[in-house]
Amino acid sequence: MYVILSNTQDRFEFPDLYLNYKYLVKSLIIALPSIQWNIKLHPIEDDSFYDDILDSNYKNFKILPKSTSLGEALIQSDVACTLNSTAGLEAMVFQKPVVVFDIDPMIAESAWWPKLGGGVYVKSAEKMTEFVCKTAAVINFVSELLKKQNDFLSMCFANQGRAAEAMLDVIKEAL
Amino acid sequence: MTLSIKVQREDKLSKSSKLLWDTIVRVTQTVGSEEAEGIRVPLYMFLASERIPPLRDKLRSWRRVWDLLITPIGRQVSKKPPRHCPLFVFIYNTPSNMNNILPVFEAAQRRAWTPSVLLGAGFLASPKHFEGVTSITKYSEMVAFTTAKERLEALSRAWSTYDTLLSEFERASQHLAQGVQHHRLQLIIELMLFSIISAGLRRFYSALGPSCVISTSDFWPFESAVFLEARRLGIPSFVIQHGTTTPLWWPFVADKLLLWGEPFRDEIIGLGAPPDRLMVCGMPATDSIFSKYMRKSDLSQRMPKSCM
Repeated sequence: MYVILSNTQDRFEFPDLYLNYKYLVKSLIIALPSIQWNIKLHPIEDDSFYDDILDSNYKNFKILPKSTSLGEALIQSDVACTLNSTAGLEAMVFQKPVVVFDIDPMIAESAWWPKLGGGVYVKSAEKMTEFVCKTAAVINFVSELLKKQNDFLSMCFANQGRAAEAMLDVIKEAL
Repeated sequence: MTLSIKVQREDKLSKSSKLLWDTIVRVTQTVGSEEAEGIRVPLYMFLASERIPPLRDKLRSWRRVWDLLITPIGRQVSKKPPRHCPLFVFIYNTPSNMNNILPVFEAAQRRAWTPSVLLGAGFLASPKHFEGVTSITKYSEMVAFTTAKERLEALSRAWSTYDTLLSEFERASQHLAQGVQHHRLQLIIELMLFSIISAGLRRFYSALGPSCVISTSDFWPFESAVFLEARRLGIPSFVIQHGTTTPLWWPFVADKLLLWGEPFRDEIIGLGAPPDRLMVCGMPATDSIFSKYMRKSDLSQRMPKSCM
């Protein structure tokens, strides 16, 4: 089961980008019928972007209920995919392989994490098929990916597990 | 670690968008009023859309004026305790905001800092979050703390700030000036509300005397007023990072930005922010998840002891 961490609320600002994104989602559903594709909507997003995909009644495509939390969506998934949602970072903390849909130069710049080992870029249904095959066929592919992601997290996120306390320490010192 | 990732900031917004943001920052600085500074983000949104606002948007603006008109005037700020304690401003209910501020708020409660709470206009309070908090104030109360005279003065000041803003944009770019004119009603209302909220906040801060102000954003007019007013009164203020950074993150109003990690700090320094206003603290939203995984996974073995 793969979850797509959706954030189409920006689609009016970047119409071409989201047109490509929709095309990719459709292609993935068709190219990889054995994968269940679930969409986790951003809290401020509705499902209208996916109307025409829903109308096609693909059996391997579902939009998760709005009540599903990010944690619930991630726990039940094998892989998390996103365009550039910050939720991708949280997916790494949940120890899920993260795929960033690198369908536009803008994405590689806003979701820069794969450049440092935080997930991998995939730009087409063909590349996604390769990725899926590797997860099944290449020994240690997933564990290596997770190791790189954990190294990335260690590098980019300070005070893991005690950030809130660290913030209060900084505030206390400043007062 | 400062293998500075060079996130190529300019590309996060398209080049024209970055240029637009830089122009807005420059023009609002030239205008030199806090109101103009406080409406930079809506101004950016209006001008970036490059469209004449539809009737729906105008009606929404009038609705905000109506809300203002029906808000009672001159309410007194109660001086109930706690005084001289941290004020946490919960602006939005979105998970990115809540998940990053709540752990800090709860940690402050555990340390018996007796934090008080201010809720933004769109915040739907959930009592479970604020058990035991004696002082919870809402956005609408900021308006109620103001007098009729202050509201009228705000309207007059908004009008004159708009005129100055427009003439500065005319100097910078005729095209942008045209966009400003298309959004005249919305901008004047934003400027007016900003002044009114600022007046309410001034009274509120004077009564509460918070030791510091903490929130997750100072972008939009309300939160910008929250931080500008704190700055005016010399109250230390902190913004907790709640999302990935973009060029819109600089200039910020708060005294300090509390960031998730070094790459975000490098990025904001690259935008021009002074390093001494940026503190790397971590991402509170992941505290519980990290703690859970660190207890049982090999992740803990690779972490420096200082992080544990």
